[in-house]
Amino acid sequence: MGTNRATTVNANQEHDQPEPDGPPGTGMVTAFLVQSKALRRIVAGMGFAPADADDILQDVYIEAARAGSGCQDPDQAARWLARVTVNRCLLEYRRRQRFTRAAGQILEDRAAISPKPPLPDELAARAEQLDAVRRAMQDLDESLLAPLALRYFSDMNATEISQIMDLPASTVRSRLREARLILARELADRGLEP
Amino acid sequence: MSQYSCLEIADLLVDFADDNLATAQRQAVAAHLADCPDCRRTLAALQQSLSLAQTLWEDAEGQIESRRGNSPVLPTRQPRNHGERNATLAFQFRRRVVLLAPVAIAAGLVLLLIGHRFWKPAITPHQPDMARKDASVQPLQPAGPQVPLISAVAWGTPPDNYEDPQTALTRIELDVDRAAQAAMVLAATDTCLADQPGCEDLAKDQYAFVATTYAGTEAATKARQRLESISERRTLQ
Repeated sequence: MGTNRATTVNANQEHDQPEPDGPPGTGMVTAFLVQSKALRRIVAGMGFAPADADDILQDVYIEAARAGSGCQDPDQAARWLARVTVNRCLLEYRRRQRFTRAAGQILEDRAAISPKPPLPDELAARAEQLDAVRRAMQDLDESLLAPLALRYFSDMNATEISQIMDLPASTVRSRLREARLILARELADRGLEP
Repeated sequence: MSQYSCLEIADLLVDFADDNLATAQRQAVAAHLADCPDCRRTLAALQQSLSLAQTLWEDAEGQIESRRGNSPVLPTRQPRNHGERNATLAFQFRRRVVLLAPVAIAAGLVLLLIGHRFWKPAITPHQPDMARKDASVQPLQPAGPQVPLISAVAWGTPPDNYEDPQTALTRIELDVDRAAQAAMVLAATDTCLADQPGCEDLAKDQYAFVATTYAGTEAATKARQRLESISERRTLQ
C-alpha cells in the first residue's frame, strides 16, 4: 500500500545532508543536545526498541557532527535534525521490530505506579484493546505511522510535518486521517470499542 | 435530517475528534452523530485508539529513557545478546567503521603489546639459547627425549588474571568503544558550552553523566575536573 509513498521520503537522500544554500551547519552537535529529548520522542513514536533507538540516535548524532558548524537558526537546525531522524527511522522501519512489548506487561507496569490501579477484569479488557492497537501499529505502513507519531506524540502540526517529511500539508492531513481510521477500525472490527 | 452521509462524515470525523473543524461543519457533524449510532461508535473508537496509541508511545519512550538512565545526552551503547548483535551486524559495522577506525588501530597496538608480553617468556626465561636453537637450528630432532619447540614449561601456569584471547579481545573492544563514546560526549558537551555559555546547567548534567556512566575512562576524569571547575567558579561568584 504505502511502499511507494514511503520512498517519496526515502528517495531524497540529500535530506540527510545539510542543504546547499543556508543549511544547518554550525552548532549541529549543540542543537542535537538541545533537541535530544524531542528526537528520542520521534524514535519512540516509531516504536523502536531501546537498543535500536540508540543506534538510530547515534547515527543522527554522527550526521550532526558531520554537518559541522554554521547554523544560526535554532528552528532550522531542529527541523533538519527531525528530518534526519525521521529518515533514519524510515530506513530502519522494515528491518527492525517495533512495539514489541506485550500489552499486558505495559499495563502491569503502569498499574504498578498508578495511584488507582485498575481492577483485574478492567486490566484484562484494556490489555486486549491495547494489543489490538499495538498489532495495528506494527502493521501500519511507515508512511502513515511517521506522520501519526509526529502529530500526536511529538505534537507537531501538519505544516511542520510536511516540512520534515517533504510532503504537501494536504497529503499529511489525509495520511493522518487514514492512519487514525485504520486504528479505530481495528478496535471497532473486533467489537472492542468502549 | 443530517446534511452529511456516513461516508462524508467518515472524512470529517478525525478533524471533529481533534476539534479542527469550522463551527458550521462542526455543528453539522454533531447533528449527524446525534442520529447515527454507527458514526458515534467510530468516533469513540477513534478517541479510544488514540489514547491506546499514546500508551504505547509513552511506554516506548519510557523504555528508551530508562535504558539511557535519564541522561539528556547521547544514547549509551550497551553490550547486546547475540541475537540482537546478529540482527544489526551490518548496521553496526557501517557505524563502527566511521567511529572506530582510529581506535581500532590503537586496539591493534594494545594487542601487539599483549602478544609480546605472552610470547617473550617462551624464549627468554630459563633456557633462551636452547629454545632458539630448538626452533631454528635443529629442524630434525635427534634420538632421545623430545624437547617441544615451545614447551608448556616455558608458558608456565596461567596467571590468576589470565583471560583467553577471545575474551580479552572482546573486553578491549568494549573498553575502546566505551572510551570513544565517552570522549565523544565530552567533546560534544565542550562544544555546546563553547557555543552557548548559557548552557552551563545542561553541560553540568552532561559532565556528570560522563563521569558516572563512563567511570574509569580518561573522559570521565576530565568530566569530573570540568564539574569541579564549574562548581568552583559558581562558588566564587
